[in-house]
Amino acid sequence: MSDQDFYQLMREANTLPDSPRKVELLEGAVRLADSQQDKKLGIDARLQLIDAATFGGRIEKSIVAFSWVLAQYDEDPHCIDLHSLLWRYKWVVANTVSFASVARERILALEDDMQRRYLEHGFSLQVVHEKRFENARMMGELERAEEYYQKWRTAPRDQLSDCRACDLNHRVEALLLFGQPEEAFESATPLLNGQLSCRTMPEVTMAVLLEPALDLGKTETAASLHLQGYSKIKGQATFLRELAFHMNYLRSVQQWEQALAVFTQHIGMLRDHHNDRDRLHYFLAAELLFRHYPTDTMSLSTATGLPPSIANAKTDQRPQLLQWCAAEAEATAQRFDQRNGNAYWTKHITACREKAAENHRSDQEKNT
Amino acid sequence: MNQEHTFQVNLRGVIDLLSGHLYSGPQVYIRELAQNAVDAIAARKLHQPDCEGQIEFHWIDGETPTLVVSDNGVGLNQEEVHQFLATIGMSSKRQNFDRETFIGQFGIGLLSAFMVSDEIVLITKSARHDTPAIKWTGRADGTYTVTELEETIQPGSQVYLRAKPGCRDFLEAEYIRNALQRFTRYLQTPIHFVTGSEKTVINGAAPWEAVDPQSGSLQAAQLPEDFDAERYLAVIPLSHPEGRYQGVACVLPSSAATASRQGDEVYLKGMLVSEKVENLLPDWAFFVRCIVNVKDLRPTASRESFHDDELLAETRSDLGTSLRQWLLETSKRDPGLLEELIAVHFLPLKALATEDPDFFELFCDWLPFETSLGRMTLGEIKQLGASLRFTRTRDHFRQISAVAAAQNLCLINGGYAYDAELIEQLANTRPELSIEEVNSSDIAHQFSNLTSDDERATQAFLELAGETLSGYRCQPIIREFQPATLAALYTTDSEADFLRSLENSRQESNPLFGDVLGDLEKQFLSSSQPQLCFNFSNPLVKRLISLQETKVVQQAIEMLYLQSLLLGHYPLKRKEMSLLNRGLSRLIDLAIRP
Repeated sequence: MSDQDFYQLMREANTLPDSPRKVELLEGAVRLADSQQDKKLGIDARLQLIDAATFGGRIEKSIVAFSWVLAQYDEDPHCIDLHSLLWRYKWVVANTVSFASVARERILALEDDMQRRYLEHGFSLQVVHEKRFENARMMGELERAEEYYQKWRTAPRDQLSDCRACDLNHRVEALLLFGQPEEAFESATPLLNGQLSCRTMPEVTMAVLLEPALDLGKTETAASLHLQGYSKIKGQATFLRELAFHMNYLRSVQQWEQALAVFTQHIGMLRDHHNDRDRLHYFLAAELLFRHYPTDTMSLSTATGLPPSIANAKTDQRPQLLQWCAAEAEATAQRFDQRNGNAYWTKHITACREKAAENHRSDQEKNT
Repeated sequence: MNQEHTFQVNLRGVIDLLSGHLYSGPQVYIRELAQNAVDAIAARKLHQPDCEGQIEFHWIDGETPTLVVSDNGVGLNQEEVHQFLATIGMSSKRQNFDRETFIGQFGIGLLSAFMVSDEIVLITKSARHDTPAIKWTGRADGTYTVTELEETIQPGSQVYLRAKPGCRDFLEAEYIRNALQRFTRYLQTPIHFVTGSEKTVINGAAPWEAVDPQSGSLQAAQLPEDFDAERYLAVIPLSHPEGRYQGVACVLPSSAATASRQGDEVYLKGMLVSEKVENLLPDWAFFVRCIVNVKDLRPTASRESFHDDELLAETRSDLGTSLRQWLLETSKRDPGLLEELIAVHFLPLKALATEDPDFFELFCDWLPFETSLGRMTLGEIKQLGASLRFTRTRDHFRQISAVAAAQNLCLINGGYAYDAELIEQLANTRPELSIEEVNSSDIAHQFSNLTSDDERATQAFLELAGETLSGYRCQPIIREFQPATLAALYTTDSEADFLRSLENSRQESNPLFGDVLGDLEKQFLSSSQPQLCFNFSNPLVKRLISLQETKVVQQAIEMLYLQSLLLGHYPLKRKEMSLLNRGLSRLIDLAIRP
């Protein structure tokens, strides 16, 4: 290889938005640097790779790249700037929990290691508490989640804290989790009126508020959240959980065609998307859609990545889709539960099914 | 006791804030003074449309140089002076008039002069009220005095500044002339700069004046003399049908990455906003640099960039449409120029094609790609007729392009920024073309199987290879393929590649991350295994198959495995690295043995 090839790849990657494609180019750069055994270039390329993978829907790749970079740092702390390292560590700690195959004890050990490194360099634990909160929530440990939520709220912010937009979104999601949707809406105001924004906000906030908006009877707010939010995240792998929430919204308001369009447009992405959290949300939303979809036959011609038997069926795809999506969602929930040592996600699925059934039953009653 | 109080604002602190944080440098005080003069004249024209505006910057040499800025604008009466000049953030422009006519929006314009002067004197006579002329003296410590003048003067304003200690440089004649040149040369209102007996006109023709607002075409002869059109591949006229902007886009002679884009030169009603505006053009437009005059965009408080609002989004999309339109016309009128342009700027054009299906439809045939048969445009590739194959990464391409070329197969390298996406787009828009993504393992699937006799003959060799490679997660197979010079091909898909990089990182990681990656790995273990595909057409492989010395054959298999990895640019794992070292020492050993 020549350095020229390496920099060419890095430059090209730079022209792309964070996406699986950008990740592919940067992986090429990493391979070049490694086959040259050039640690410095290996670090440069991996730092970019971590960013692109974290925000481009390939978080498993950012975990792998980070562990290599961390090892280099531990060997020679001068090889990378501490802030760059610790800034990315928090993403890794928050993302690892999304893979059901990673044991609970490892996640706790990661949190502890993060805390140790933050303390060692005199940084606030604010963001460490926040990641512990998020992880506890993902593992269905709501009491622990609440405990760390309180610690996070009262700890001072510093330069390693998440940006203000993200922090506010954390608060919104926490309030929703603790059953305070009205407060969540109130808190979200600066995100929704454009005062605060960042790489992923307010797109995430708009998606998580869809269902609470409907629950509170704010149908117009929900419609506008969907309208504004969906166009910003359409087609982006990093927002598959949020896309699932939009699918849920469209189903709830019985915009069946549009809900199906969300499904067909993104289902192909699931093939290479290994983030279990996103898969669970997506397949659950799809399952609920097909459980209540008004017809058995539909056009799936634009969808890629479907099991062949469904893709080739000309009619009556609904029952098959329902079965497939429900099985995927359940299997993922079970893997999570097994890891977490509780029944949080299985119960979550049951609760979502009951709620959807209830909603659509009352819709039908209204119609008849 | 519910008395209302007002905040005491420390003016010096505010000025430090302005100069240190809001503005890019003290030069902007010249712009702010010119802006105030332009606004005052526009306000006067509302009442007296035939008034001919005049602005003069008069520089007076001395121990501390003095600058006098005069305009024959609307002027202020005493009440307005108190109201507008003493209240920070308040501006006569903000409340009473609409944004269309007035450039300035912020009452901080005059205050910016405190960056260079400790005292500002303003003599002003209102054109709207029959009131005496006023002298306002403001000081940087936050105090000011107002006196009525007895003498009659013409309506308008004069601002006097004297350099404060340490700021003499910013009030030198050359500095002021340069700042005026930079900010105001394209203003409609005449601006004069006076030093001693010398009086020069600052204004000159703007590049956008060479664009005919009706037809939108460029009259190249009318471009200003100091505009070096020769430097660019082309100059594209930009003109909004309703006059919201007018300008030129210069096609840069060499390619620049988005990251190094220098930004566009943007004027708001003739006044420079910045030479480095970054959000005016769509992202893909990095092959041009624009000089544009806009009418109604909203500047930020510093007046050095624009608010990213709907209006800007609309303007951006309109400008994008203009550029696209020009490319379309050029493809018909001057295909040679288009070819030249694509040769330099194919990267942004490919970016545009991924975003814009119509553009893609029209231009895809011109775009160049790297293939196993050399660099070709998509048009040329399509003429080959047969099915199109592409790889998603450069490494897969490099690994199999020789194999593809040997079979006279046109394999496209989709490993560049937009290429794979464009080819997939082509597959969607042209279902009649047969287009498929291949990786090394797909190519291997198409290799010929051996005859059953040959297969029997190679069985022992394959078993030995399996045993030799057992620790390397790689399954040996044997096929017949071209080029015969290639002894073995390492074939994978993207999941197997990921797993390999995971293993690589894992062996370097600390124990905690080693465990995390170990857990993560479980999720991918069911994916396909890489294969080492030996080539039965290769003479060396044939010799190995018939060789009886197990040890030697094993060593050869190891080396072929390593060679195939290196061919595919796969970084070696530790274990493989020591295998390579061992193998090389053995060779050297053999060579020097007596």
